[in-house]
Order: sequence, then C-alpha cells, then structure tokens
Amino acid sequence: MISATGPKILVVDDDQQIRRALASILSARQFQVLLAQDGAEGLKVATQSSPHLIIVDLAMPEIDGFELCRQLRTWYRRPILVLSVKADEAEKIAALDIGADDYLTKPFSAGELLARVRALLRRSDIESEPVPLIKVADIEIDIPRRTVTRAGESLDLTRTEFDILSYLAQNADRVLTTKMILDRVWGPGYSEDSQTLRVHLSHLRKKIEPSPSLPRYVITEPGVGYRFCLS
Amino acid sequence: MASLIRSGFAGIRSGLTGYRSYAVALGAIGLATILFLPLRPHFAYSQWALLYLLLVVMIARASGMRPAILAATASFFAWNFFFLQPYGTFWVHDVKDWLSLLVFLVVALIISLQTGKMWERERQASERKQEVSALHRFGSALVSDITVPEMIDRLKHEVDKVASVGSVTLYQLREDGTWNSYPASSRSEPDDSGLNLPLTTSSGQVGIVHMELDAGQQPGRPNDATVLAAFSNLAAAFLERKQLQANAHQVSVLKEADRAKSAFLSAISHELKTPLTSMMATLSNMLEGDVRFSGNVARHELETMSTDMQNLDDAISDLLDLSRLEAETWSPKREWGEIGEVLSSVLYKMPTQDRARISVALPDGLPEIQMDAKQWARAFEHLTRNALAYGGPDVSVTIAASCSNDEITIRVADSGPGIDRSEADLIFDKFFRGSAAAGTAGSGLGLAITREIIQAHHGRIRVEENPRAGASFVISVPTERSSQQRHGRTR
Repeated sequence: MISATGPKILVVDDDQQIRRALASILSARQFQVLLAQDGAEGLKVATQSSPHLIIVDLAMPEIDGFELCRQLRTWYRRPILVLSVKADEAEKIAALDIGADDYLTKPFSAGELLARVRALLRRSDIESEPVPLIKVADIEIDIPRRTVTRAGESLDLTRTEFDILSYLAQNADRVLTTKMILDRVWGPGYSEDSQTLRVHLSHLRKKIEPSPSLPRYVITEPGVGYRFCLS
Repeated sequence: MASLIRSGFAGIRSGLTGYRSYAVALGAIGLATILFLPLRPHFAYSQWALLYLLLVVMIARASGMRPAILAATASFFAWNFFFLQPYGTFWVHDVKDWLSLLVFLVVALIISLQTGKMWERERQASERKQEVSALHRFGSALVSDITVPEMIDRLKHEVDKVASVGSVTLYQLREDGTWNSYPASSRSEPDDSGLNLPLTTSSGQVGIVHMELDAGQQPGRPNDATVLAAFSNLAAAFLERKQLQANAHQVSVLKEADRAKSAFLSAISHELKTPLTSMMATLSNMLEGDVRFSGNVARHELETMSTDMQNLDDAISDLLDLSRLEAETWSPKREWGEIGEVLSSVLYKMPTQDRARISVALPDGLPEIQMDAKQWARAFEHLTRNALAYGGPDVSVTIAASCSNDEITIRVADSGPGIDRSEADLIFDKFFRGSAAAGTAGSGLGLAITREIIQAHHGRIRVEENPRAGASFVISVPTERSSQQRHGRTR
C-alpha cells in the first residue's frame, strides 16, 4: 500500500466483500485505493482527496449510487465507473444519463475491471487535449476540418451525421445512451426523439459501414444506446 | 330450508281424461239407442242386448272401468226402456224377461270390470314404459359430457313426457349457503309455489330441482313421486360426477405442477451445485497443505475454478432470465429495430476467435420489425453460443435471413454433429440437455429462454432437418404489416 504511487481510486460500496476484492485487485496494480462504505462517506472522501476515478455501487442504502453520482457531478469532472446488477438495462441507462462514464455488471473479472479503469483514466487524460484526428480501422475522422474518409476516400456526411459519428468515435468502445447523443448533438432539452436518431444513424451506417445491414462500427447496444466499436 | 323441500307430489296430475270419458260413454249408448230404434221390429229383443254388451266392451277397452260401468248401467236401462215390452216403460211383466235383464246387468258389469282392469293394466304398463324410457334417455344423456344448463334442458324435456310441468329450475347450493340457479332465475332461492325435489349426493344435499306446476292440475298418480325422485337422483348423481371430475382435474393439475416443481428444483440444484462442488473440491485441495503445488499446476487449478465460476454465473443468469420471462407480467418492450443491428451487437461482444467462426448473410432491405432488441440479442446469444459449444472445435456457424409473405425467417445453422431426431421436440424444454451436450457446461435453459422470447414476439422457432450435417434452428417472425393484420383480426 505504501509503495502505491499510481492514480488514486475511490471505491464506494456498502458490501465489504466487494470492497475487499476491488482493493486487492487495484492495489496490486499500484493504484492508490480509498474505500468508503456508504454514499455519505464517499462524498466526504471524494472532496477531501480528489481521486482520479471513483467506482460507485448503484445499490446502496440511504444515498444510493444514482444520488451519489448526481451530487458528485455538481463539481467532480473525472470519470465515474458504476457497478450494476446484471440484466438491468434501465439502471445502466439511468446511471449513464446521470453522469456515470461507464458501467460494469456484477459479477465481473479482474481483467474486465482493469480494462475499464485504464480506459477511463486514459480518456480523462486525453480529454484535456482533444484529439484532432481519430483513426479506426480504415476510417479517419478529422475533427477540426469536419471530414471523414474511408480507405482514403472522402465520405459526404451531413452536419448531424458528422456530429453523431465524432461523438461516438471520441468515446470509442464506450456505450452512449440515446439521451446522451441527443443532448450532445441537438443540445440539452431539445425534444428530439430516439426515432429521429435512428433515422440519422441509419443514413450514417449506409455511408460508413462496409455492410450496413450488419453494422460493424456503430453498434447498437440493445436497450441502452450505441457504441463505436474498435475491435 | 327444510320447509322449501316439500315432498308433496299431489300436484302432479295423472293425465286421465276425466269427465269427458263418462260423457263419451253415455253419448255412445244414447247414439247407439237412437240408431237401433228404427230397426227394432226386425230383431229379437235379446239380440239388442248382445249389441249393447259389444258396446260396453268397446267402451271398457277405450276408457277403462268406470266409464264402462256407467255404460253398462245406461245400457241396462236403455234396453229395458226401449227394447223390452211394454216399450217406453221400465216395467217388465214377463218373469223370463226379468231374468234376462238381471243376467244382462251382471254380464255387462263383469265385462266392464274385467276389460276395465285390463285396460288399466295396459295403460299403467305403457306409462311405466314411457317413464323407464324417459329415465333411460335422461340417464344416457348424463353419461355424455354435457353442461349443467344442458342437463336442465334434458330434464325438462324428459319430465314433460311423463308428467306435465311448467318450468324446471335447478338451484345449486353454494358453499356460502346461497343458491345458484340454472337457468338464471329472478328468484334468489326456490319458493313453495311449485314442487321442490331435493338433490342429495353422498356428501349431503347439493341442491333442489324446482318444478312449476301447470295451472289447475289434479292430484296425480301415486307413482309420480317415485319417478320424479328417480329423475332428481339422476340429476344429483350427475352433479356429483361433475364435481368429482372438477376435483380430479384439479388434482391432476396440481400433481403436474408438483412434478414440474420438483423436477425444476432438482435441476436447479444440479446446475448450481455442480460448479460449486467442483470449485470447492479444487480450492480445498489446494488449501490442504500436504502437497506443494507448483506454479503451473496452481495456475491450472485456478483456471478451472474460474471456468466453474463462469458456469455458475451463467446458470444463475439463465434462471433469473427464465423466471422473469415466465412471469406473467413480462411483455416485450417493442421498438422498431433491425435484425442485423441486433446480430451485430451480439457478434461484436464475442471474443474475436469465436466471431471468426460465424458468417452472417443478410439480404439488403430486410424490413424493420417491432422488437424488444435486448431480448432478441439474448435469443441470438443463446443460439450462437449453443452452436459454438456443441458443434465441436472446428464448427462453423452460418446465420442467414430472408423475407417473404410478411414473414422474416432467420436460420442459425452449424456444421457440428447435429441434433438427434428424437430430441428435436424436447430440446426447447427447460433443463433438457441433449445427448450431445453430455460433458459440456450449460444450464439447459438457453433454448427454453430463446423460445419464450420468440413466442412473445408472435414468432416460432423450430429445429430443421439438415440433410447435410449439423443443427439448424429456424426462427420465423411476422413483419409489422402482417402482425398488424393479425392484431386487427383478433380485436
């Protein structure tokens, strides 16, 4: 523990077994681990020691994970990873919409946890200096010049299509809910519905996907949202 | 209630023709006398007596004893008055004629009595026959599977043949002491205005048959009571049989539920205990301390445990999924979606080496359908996982779709050993694991879950005979146009 020099990670979970497991996985990889056993303590520790990442269990008594996320998001800008129970898509959407950056379903393996944590930390580093050029497989997205090419060939995207694509690609391998995309592309409170987004995505897929009927880049995450797939 | 069950059968009349038969008897004698009179000079007075006797016999045959006695008496006077000298008086001066008159009266009365009795017996016999056949018909009707209202109709129909009654109503005693009436009656309980026959079974009184009497009826034949009681006993037996049938059905349903439950429990405990047992054995083996495990062996043991744990997690998820799907509250959250969209979400979640073994052929312009995409993803996940798990190490999986006749057909085929024909129907049952599944991990719930999901979308799934090799699952699901039509029809 003393030798830990890596980024600080706060784990907020009322379940002692989960706290112990997470602490053991993370501290073995040189992360500095802070533990809190309920929402109130989590808020206190977060304000005192400003961790690089916070892992929040959604199901907690009193201040639950959603409420904690909401309160944290009033001032905390760094990534939040939520732990949720399997097969509850509504919970995942709610957490993402409230400001969580990613979710992990229980039970999870150490590998999955570390992959998410590292991806989130990397992204939060990158976000300070936006990437002007995103390259995924044979697709290149030039953000400042607002151009997209596939295999060197320029693609003719509408403004909305480009906004959707660049938002997804900048958050590659991360699920974005329909609401997040709508808020980002059309602006918060703009009452566009998910059907409009579906139509734009369908056009976008026809332009960038090698086989639009079986998407390979813009993947639908059934019941939750969409993600840009790197693999 | 006892007051309601009047056992007075007096109201039912016998169907005798009453005063009319006496009038007919008198009329016949009178008419005959008028016809005889012009012919009086041509025959001897004794011959007229024979004709009167013939008439008495005929009346006895037709109307029974009493009208015949009346006819005999009337003939006696008519013969005396019109055919014995001096004509026009009841006075007889010849002693021989006195004797003839006396003999005539005695013979006529004996004939009336004998023939009348015969007539009575025949009439009773034919009534018995009618009653027996009515009871027989009613009894046979009860053996066939008829409803209670149908039974009442039959009862009325048959009772009408042996005793004339107005309406027939059955009051069934409910458990709370109130009455249930067939056909639905405005009265909540039987009243005293008609005839109330108790329906008694081995478990006590179960109801009452209430019969309205036709207006102005005479007291009936003594055996009406027995016949009507026989009818009500048959009706009671019928009701008891219905009750027993219902009980037996309930018992068999409960038995089946019980059997399913214990099968479910034993299957669950098997699915959950097997990986747990394996984990516990491995772990305790390592903790035993008497053997030092080398790094490689320890790693191998840990990997085994990790696999067991994954299986345990899968089994729990499957169980949760299935119980959620089977809960009656579940219905798909339908939104427009494409099959390809769902398939790609399943494929790009898989490890790359698994994805490489799956090829997908979707035609362009496959129509969107109203689907719960999350559930469809789950269904495809189970199908592809199945194909990869049971198809052997070199298996390749082909997913193809086509659309025709307002129906999308999706075929998930693999190149593995295939499914035994005898197992094709069982494979969708909960916890059924085919012979090919022996030795592989799996809950036996995947296909049950898949079918549950497809059916909730009004679709079908079946195993197709694959002439070459491998297993082939075919899903057909209506496109929106046809399911709208279907919706319209059922509405």
